[in-house]
Amino acid sequence: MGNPTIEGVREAMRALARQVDVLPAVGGALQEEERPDADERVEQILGRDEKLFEANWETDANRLYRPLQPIPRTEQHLYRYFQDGSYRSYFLGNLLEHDRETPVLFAQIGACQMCRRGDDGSVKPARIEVKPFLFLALDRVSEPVRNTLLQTTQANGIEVVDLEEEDELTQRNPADLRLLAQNKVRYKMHEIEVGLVQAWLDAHEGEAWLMVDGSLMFTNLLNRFESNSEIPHVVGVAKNFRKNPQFAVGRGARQERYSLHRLLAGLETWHRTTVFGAREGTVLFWYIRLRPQGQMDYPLMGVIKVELINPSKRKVDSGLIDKLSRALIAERNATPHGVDRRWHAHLYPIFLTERYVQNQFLSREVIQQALRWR
Amino acid sequence: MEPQAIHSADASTNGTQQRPQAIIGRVSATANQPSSSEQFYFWLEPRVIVNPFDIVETDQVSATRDRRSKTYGIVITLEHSTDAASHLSNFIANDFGSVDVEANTPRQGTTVARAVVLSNSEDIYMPAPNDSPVRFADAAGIHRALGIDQIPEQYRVPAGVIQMSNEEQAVVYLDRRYLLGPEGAHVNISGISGLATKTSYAMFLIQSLLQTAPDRDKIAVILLNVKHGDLLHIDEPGEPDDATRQMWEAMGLTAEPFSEVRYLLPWGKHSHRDGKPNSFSIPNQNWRMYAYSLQDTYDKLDLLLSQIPDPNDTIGSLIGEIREGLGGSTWAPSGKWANATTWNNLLNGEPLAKNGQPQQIGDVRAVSVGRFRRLLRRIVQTRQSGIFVEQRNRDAVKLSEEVAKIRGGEVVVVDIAKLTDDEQTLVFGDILRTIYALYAESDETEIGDTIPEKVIIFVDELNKYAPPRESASPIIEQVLDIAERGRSLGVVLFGAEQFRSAVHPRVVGNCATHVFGRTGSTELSDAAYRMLDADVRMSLTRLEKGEMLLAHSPFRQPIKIRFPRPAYKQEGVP
Repeated sequence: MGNPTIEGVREAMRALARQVDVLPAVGGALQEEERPDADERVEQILGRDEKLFEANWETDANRLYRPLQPIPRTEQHLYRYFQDGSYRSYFLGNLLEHDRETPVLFAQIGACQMCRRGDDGSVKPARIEVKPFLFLALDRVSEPVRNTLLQTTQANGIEVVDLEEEDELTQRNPADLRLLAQNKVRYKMHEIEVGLVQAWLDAHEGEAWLMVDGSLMFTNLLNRFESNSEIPHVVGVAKNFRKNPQFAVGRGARQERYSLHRLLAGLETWHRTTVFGAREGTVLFWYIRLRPQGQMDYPLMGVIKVELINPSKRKVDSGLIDKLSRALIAERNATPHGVDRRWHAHLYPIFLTERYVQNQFLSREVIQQALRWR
Repeated sequence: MEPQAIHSADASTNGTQQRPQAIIGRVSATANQPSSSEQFYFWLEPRVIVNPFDIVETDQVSATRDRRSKTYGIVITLEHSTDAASHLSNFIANDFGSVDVEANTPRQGTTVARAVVLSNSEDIYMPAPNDSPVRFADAAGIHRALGIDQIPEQYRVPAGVIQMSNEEQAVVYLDRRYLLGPEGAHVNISGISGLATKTSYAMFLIQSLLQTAPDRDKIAVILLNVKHGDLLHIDEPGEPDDATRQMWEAMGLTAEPFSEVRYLLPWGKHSHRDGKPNSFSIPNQNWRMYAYSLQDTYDKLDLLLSQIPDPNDTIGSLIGEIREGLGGSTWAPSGKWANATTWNNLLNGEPLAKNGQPQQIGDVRAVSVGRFRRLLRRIVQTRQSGIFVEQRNRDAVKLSEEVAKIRGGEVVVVDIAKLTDDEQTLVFGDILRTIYALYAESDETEIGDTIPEKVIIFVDELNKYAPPRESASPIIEQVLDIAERGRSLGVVLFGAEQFRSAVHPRVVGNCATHVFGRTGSTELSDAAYRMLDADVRMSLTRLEKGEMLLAHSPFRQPIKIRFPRPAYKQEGVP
């Protein structure tokens, strides 16, 4: 028996080919390469309306930099859960109908939460969701074609996504739809991730924290919290981040402006910056240097950006920030050095989670051979 | 009767029910390392312990729908791999070389075992499918894996015990038809002296053969004692400890000494005075001394001088002349040889010498005769251990006559430990020649009646008698005769040596059973070990005393076995 996802997509492709002209991708499905600075692009989009960030969002904001010592798991096991998402998308071809055309992409998108055991530090999957999607601009095909597509895909659990539908990462743009598709795919991944975070928050109490790869500044996540909600036990950890923000440190006449590069140039190993506020303090963030600057190729390597949801928009306890940061420093080893170019800021349990998700996908070889318009 | 299992019972079911084996891992076939008909890989569940030579089983397709066959494999090697791209990655992951760092999340790694396929329960040799569950084989599975279940019970000879990492044990049986013929014969045992326990294993295997033979009274054994008094008390009971006794009994054997043993010990320089043999130790009973007069040796001079280089066959010619002069096949010195009846007369009198000067004999020039006299004098007079006598008295027997009297059910031990190398070659060659002639010249009615159907000859230091030389010598030819034709006559050679590479390849090549004890890494680089997988070869450097690697013709792969200590009295053993 064939794979239902593959069979579902092939059935949809056959149905479409009967109704419209098709320019297939040469050689079959072409994998869309994920751009290396995706985290940075996401942050740029999400924070496009904010360029200046104020400090003074913690109870002890007198120091720009604070020294820390790592808390190992054996002393205090703070981060028990780790979440990451991944996707693989494939350009299948273009549908042509009169003077209209739309690219068609197939993507496998997934997210997973890993749980780490306390006794030996081994990890196992706790929650996972992997879904197949087809992306195209629905307005660019006629209604019969749309109906055919929806009928054939829904029966096989494949979600059809309109490329021209706006979301936080994409805006309606008549520019190349295929470029737009990357952000759409990424947004769908974040939707799945937000669902997992919500499920975790509903199910867990106590001291354990969830570490999520990437930014937490998604409206559908932030809207979940009332202004009187406690700080959820979730941190977002970004390995890469936008380079153009400005930071205002201090008050009144003594306030100083810092660029990111100036801010991080003074950040020493196992130190954190003071806490800054985004979205009027709904999200707090700071930077931590995990590894000695001299061992890195350039100064921004080895630094992570940490985000915390702050529903009350009040100053947060510096002791909490220190604790979260110390536990993060303890996560610096092992590393995916040699396997991932982002190794210097890529925390190992997140790396494992990402790999686990990717291993759930059908292989590139299977997709490229199976999904061809013949 | 079901194959014996030493320990496979579930205590909770009072030993009456086989419990299903737990899954210890799953088959892993990758783009770079696929499964094949010959081998498969499997990853281990963490905390499971597996060792090389463990026997495992995995599910396989079956010709019958709704059923699965089982593929059995033997673990050859294990590797642990991680997602670290290089050693540098691991160094960096420890804070650039800190030895005190403990990672919150240990690096992901897995141990992968490579198993070579032994057999399949339905003779299906499809590659093991990916993710197929892998389990330790139980005792019955081990027997199926090795093909022991196909050996008819009457031919099974216990050869040791397999002990697996999950504490499962099973008796290993050899097929007697491949030990004593007709399908195959001969055993070769190699390994470092003092560590490989070659003699102990040979003695155990012989005892096992005798105890399980339905026709025990038709098998005779000749053992050569080459080291101290190792084999001079094999009929006296030892004091095996409980564990040793249990291992014997688990194989259906009795921990007991040999019976019906007689010893032949060498005459010494002082034996005529004190009546004691030239041996490291004297057995309690049933021993005689043997010696060689000229009359006993004249037709075996080729064996005595087999170590002397003789490219032009000069010595060979002279030996022929002497033999003919002294009567040919029957002792009857005559003519110019009439007075050459003792060693002294032969060496110093006519026709070899006159007035102290060597004489030409036939086409052999006097100078060569002189060399021959010097060599022979050195061997039988000046540097001999005492076995060469001018005349044997009544207390000394002729070895070949004693050997020729061998009966079924008997064990004859010939001590050569204190002899010189040339003397040892003579004695061993004499035994081989005597036995070979006994079988080659007897008719069928005598064999099984007055002559044993099978005779097993065990000798250590086989390399001395059958080195891998291009040019043949009488002793090499004798050993090759036994190795290549002995099986059809019923003469079986159990040979042992420290270095397998130092034994003639045609001798080793004709053995149906090979046993390896601990071996050094330098020796393992020789072509003599090419029959073993490279990883299996290296495992020989780690074998303990009492562990051997066994390669038997019906088995697809060598296996590791343990065997019990001998149950007879051993020198130096408390």
